[in-house]
Amino acid sequence: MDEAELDREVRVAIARAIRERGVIPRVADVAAELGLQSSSISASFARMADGHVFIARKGSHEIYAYDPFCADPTDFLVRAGGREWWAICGWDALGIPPALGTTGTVEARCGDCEEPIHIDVGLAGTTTTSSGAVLQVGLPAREFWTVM
Amino acid sequence: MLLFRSEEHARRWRERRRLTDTDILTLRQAAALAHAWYQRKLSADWRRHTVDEAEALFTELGLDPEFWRLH
Repeated sequence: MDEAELDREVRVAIARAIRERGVIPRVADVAAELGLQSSSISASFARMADGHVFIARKGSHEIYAYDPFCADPTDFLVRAGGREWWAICGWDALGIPPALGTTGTVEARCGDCEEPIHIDVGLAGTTTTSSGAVLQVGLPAREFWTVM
Repeated sequence: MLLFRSEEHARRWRERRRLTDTDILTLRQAAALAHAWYQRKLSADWRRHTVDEAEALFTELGLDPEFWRLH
Protein backbone atom coordinates (compact mmCIF):
# COMPACT_ATOMS: atom_id res chain seq x y z
CA MET A 1 0.00 0.00 0.00
CA ASP A 2 1.50 3.34 -0.99
CA GLU A 3 1.15 6.53 1.05
CA ALA A 4 -1.86 7.80 -0.87
CA GLU A 5 -3.70 4.50 -0.42
CA LEU A 6 -2.82 4.39 3.26
CA ASP A 7 -3.95 7.97 3.81
CA ARG A 8 -7.26 7.17 2.17
CA GLU A 9 -7.74 4.10 4.37
CA VAL A 10 -6.89 6.14 7.45
CA ARG A 11 -9.24 8.94 6.44
CA VAL A 12 -12.05 6.44 5.90
CA ALA A 13 -11.35 4.90 9.33
CA ILE A 14 -11.50 8.33 10.96
CA ALA A 15 -14.80 9.09 9.23
CA ARG A 16 -16.20 5.70 10.25
CA ALA A 17 -15.27 6.30 13.90
CA ILE A 18 -17.03 9.64 13.85
CA ARG A 19 -20.13 8.38 12.07
CA GLU A 20 -20.55 5.02 13.82
CA ARG A 21 -19.08 5.61 17.28
CA GLY A 22 -19.33 9.36 17.67
CA VAL A 23 -15.65 9.75 18.50
CA ILE A 24 -12.68 11.40 16.88
CA PRO A 25 -10.10 8.61 16.98
CA ARG A 26 -6.49 8.82 18.08
CA VAL A 27 -3.53 7.36 16.19
CA ALA A 28 -3.59 4.27 18.40
CA ASP A 29 -7.31 3.68 17.72
CA VAL A 30 -6.84 3.77 13.95
CA ALA A 31 -3.71 1.60 14.14
CA ALA A 32 -5.63 -1.02 16.13
CA GLU A 33 -8.59 -0.94 13.77
CA LEU A 34 -6.50 -1.30 10.63
CA GLY A 35 -3.99 -3.70 12.19
CA LEU A 36 -1.06 -1.46 11.31
CA GLN A 37 1.82 -0.03 13.28
CA SER A 38 1.22 3.24 15.11
CA SER A 39 4.27 4.75 13.43
CA SER A 40 2.66 4.29 10.00
CA ILE A 41 -0.62 5.80 11.16
CA SER A 42 1.15 8.68 12.90
CA ALA A 43 3.00 9.47 9.67
CA SER A 44 -0.31 9.38 7.81
CA PHE A 45 -1.89 11.71 10.36
CA ALA A 46 1.07 14.07 9.92
CA ARG A 47 0.62 14.16 6.15
CA MET A 48 -3.08 14.84 6.50
CA ALA A 49 -2.51 17.60 9.04
CA ASP A 50 0.03 19.17 6.66
CA GLY A 51 -2.56 18.87 3.88
CA HIS A 52 -5.19 20.58 6.06
CA VAL A 53 -7.48 17.56 6.09
CA PHE A 54 -7.74 18.22 9.83
CA ILE A 55 -6.34 20.48 12.55
CA ALA A 56 -3.78 18.72 14.75
CA ARG A 57 -3.22 19.33 18.42
CA LYS A 58 -0.25 21.56 19.12
CA GLY A 59 2.98 19.58 19.23
CA SER A 60 1.24 16.41 18.10
CA HIS A 61 -0.26 14.68 15.10
CA GLU A 62 -3.41 13.76 17.00
CA ILE A 63 -6.63 15.35 15.79
CA TYR A 64 -7.96 18.49 17.46
CA ALA A 65 -10.64 19.16 14.85
CA TYR A 66 -11.63 16.97 11.96
CA ASP A 67 -13.71 19.83 10.65
CA PRO A 68 -16.51 20.29 11.28
CA PHE A 69 -16.06 18.03 14.33
CA CYS A 70 -13.94 19.20 17.27
CA ALA A 71 -12.52 16.69 19.75
CA ASP A 72 -12.81 19.01 22.76
CA PRO A 73 -15.74 20.93 24.26
CA THR A 74 -16.29 24.39 22.80
CA ASP A 75 -18.94 27.13 22.90
CA PHE A 76 -20.68 25.56 19.89
CA LEU A 77 -22.71 22.51 20.92
CA VAL A 78 -24.49 20.51 18.25
CA ARG A 79 -27.01 17.73 18.76
CA ALA A 80 -27.36 15.46 15.74
CA GLY A 81 -27.70 11.78 14.99
CA GLY A 82 -28.55 11.03 18.61
CA ARG A 83 -25.24 12.41 19.88
CA GLU A 84 -23.68 15.64 21.11
CA TRP A 85 -20.81 17.20 19.17
CA TRP A 86 -18.67 20.31 19.39
CA ALA A 87 -17.51 22.66 16.66
CA ILE A 88 -14.79 25.29 16.67
CA CYS A 89 -16.95 27.99 15.06
CA GLY A 90 -20.41 28.83 13.80
CA TRP A 91 -19.68 27.70 10.25
CA ASP A 92 -18.54 24.29 11.46
CA ALA A 93 -21.47 23.99 13.88
CA LEU A 94 -23.90 24.43 10.99
CA GLY A 95 -21.90 21.84 9.03
CA ILE A 96 -22.16 18.96 11.48
CA PRO A 97 -25.73 17.84 10.69
CA PRO A 98 -25.07 17.84 6.92
CA ALA A 99 -21.80 15.96 7.42
CA LEU A 100 -23.79 13.29 9.24
CA GLY A 101 -26.57 13.44 6.66
CA THR A 102 -29.17 14.28 9.24
CA THR A 103 -30.96 17.11 11.01
CA GLY A 104 -29.73 18.71 14.23
CA THR A 105 -29.66 21.67 16.56
CA VAL A 106 -26.96 24.22 17.28
CA GLU A 107 -26.66 25.78 20.73
CA ALA A 108 -24.35 28.79 20.90
CA ARG A 109 -24.16 32.27 22.40
CA CYS A 110 -24.23 35.62 20.69
CA GLY A 111 -20.68 36.89 20.20
CA ASP A 112 -21.84 40.35 21.27
CA CYS A 113 -24.26 39.93 24.19
CA GLU A 114 -23.77 36.22 25.03
CA GLU A 115 -27.49 35.55 24.92
CA PRO A 116 -28.24 31.94 23.89
CA ILE A 117 -28.84 31.20 20.22
CA HIS A 118 -30.73 28.07 19.20
CA ILE A 119 -30.78 27.00 15.57
CA ASP A 120 -32.60 24.04 14.07
CA VAL A 121 -30.73 22.64 11.09
CA GLY A 122 -32.84 20.74 8.59
CA LEU A 123 -31.88 18.66 5.61
CA ALA A 124 -30.44 20.36 2.52
CA GLY A 125 -29.05 23.30 4.48
CA THR A 126 -32.30 24.73 5.76
CA THR A 127 -32.45 26.39 9.17
CA THR A 128 -34.90 27.95 11.56
CA THR A 129 -34.18 30.07 14.60
CA SER A 130 -36.19 32.22 16.96
CA SER A 131 -33.89 35.20 16.44
CA GLY A 132 -32.51 36.82 13.29
CA ALA A 133 -29.18 35.06 13.80
CA VAL A 134 -26.27 35.82 11.48
CA LEU A 135 -22.72 34.54 11.05
CA GLN A 136 -19.82 36.99 11.00
CA VAL A 137 -16.60 36.01 9.24
CA GLY A 138 -13.74 38.01 10.64
CA LEU A 139 -11.11 37.57 7.93
CA PRO A 140 -11.26 37.76 4.13
CA ALA A 141 -11.44 34.27 2.63
CA ARG A 142 -7.99 34.48 1.03
CA GLU A 143 -6.48 34.82 4.53
CA PHE A 144 -7.95 31.58 5.88
CA TRP A 145 -8.36 29.62 2.64
CA THR A 146 -5.28 27.47 3.23
CA VAL A 147 -6.78 25.97 6.38
CA MET A 148 -10.34 25.56 5.08
CA MET B 1 -16.58 32.80 12.86
CA LEU B 2 -19.08 33.74 15.49
CA LEU B 3 -22.85 33.63 15.58
CA PHE B 4 -24.81 36.73 16.60
CA ARG B 5 -28.43 37.27 17.52
CA SER B 6 -28.84 39.80 14.72
CA GLU B 7 -26.94 41.90 12.23
CA GLU B 8 -27.09 44.78 14.70
CA HIS B 9 -25.26 42.69 17.31
CA ALA B 10 -22.68 41.63 14.71
CA ARG B 11 -22.02 45.24 13.67
CA ARG B 12 -21.75 46.39 17.29
CA TRP B 13 -19.17 43.65 18.02
CA ARG B 14 -17.21 44.58 14.89
CA GLU B 15 -17.18 48.28 15.75
CA ARG B 16 -16.04 47.63 19.31
CA ARG B 17 -13.05 45.73 17.94
CA ARG B 18 -12.43 48.31 15.21
CA LEU B 19 -12.57 45.56 12.57
CA THR B 20 -13.23 46.76 9.07
CA ASP B 21 -12.79 43.72 6.84
CA THR B 22 -15.49 41.26 7.92
CA ASP B 23 -18.54 39.81 6.25
CA ILE B 24 -21.92 39.15 7.79
CA LEU B 25 -23.83 36.21 6.34
CA THR B 26 -27.52 35.61 6.78
CA LEU B 27 -28.30 32.35 8.51
CA ARG B 28 -29.63 31.02 5.22
CA GLN B 29 -26.33 31.80 3.48
CA ALA B 30 -24.25 30.41 6.36
CA ALA B 31 -26.23 27.18 6.53
CA ALA B 32 -26.12 26.70 2.76
CA LEU B 33 -22.36 27.30 2.80
CA ALA B 34 -21.84 24.83 5.66
CA HIS B 35 -24.03 22.26 3.94
CA ALA B 36 -22.18 22.51 0.66
CA TRP B 37 -18.79 22.59 2.37
CA TYR B 38 -19.20 19.63 4.69
CA GLN B 39 -21.86 17.32 3.31
CA ARG B 40 -19.22 14.96 1.85
CA LYS B 41 -16.58 15.28 4.58
CA LEU B 42 -17.21 11.77 5.93
CA SER B 43 -17.47 10.19 2.48
CA ALA B 44 -14.72 7.94 1.17
CA ASP B 45 -14.41 10.08 -1.95
CA TRP B 46 -14.10 13.39 -0.09
CA ARG B 47 -11.42 15.80 -1.26
CA ARG B 48 -10.69 19.44 -0.59
CA HIS B 49 -12.44 21.98 -2.76
CA THR B 50 -10.32 23.53 -5.45
CA VAL B 51 -10.00 27.32 -5.53
CA ASP B 52 -12.25 27.46 -8.58
CA GLU B 53 -14.90 25.23 -6.99
CA ALA B 54 -14.86 27.27 -3.79
CA GLU B 55 -15.18 30.58 -5.62
CA ALA B 56 -18.02 29.20 -7.73
CA LEU B 57 -19.82 28.16 -4.55
CA PHE B 58 -19.31 31.56 -2.94
CA THR B 59 -20.72 33.22 -6.05
CA GLU B 60 -23.69 30.86 -6.17
CA LEU B 61 -24.51 31.76 -2.56
CA GLY B 62 -24.39 35.47 -3.35
CA LEU B 63 -21.45 36.22 -1.08
CA ASP B 64 -19.45 39.44 -1.41
CA PRO B 65 -17.08 38.66 -4.32
CA GLU B 66 -14.23 40.84 -3.06
CA PHE B 67 -14.29 39.46 0.49
CA TRP B 68 -14.56 35.86 -0.75
CA ARG B 69 -12.04 36.18 -3.60
CA LEU B 70 -9.31 33.50 -3.42
CA HIS B 71 -7.18 34.24 -6.49
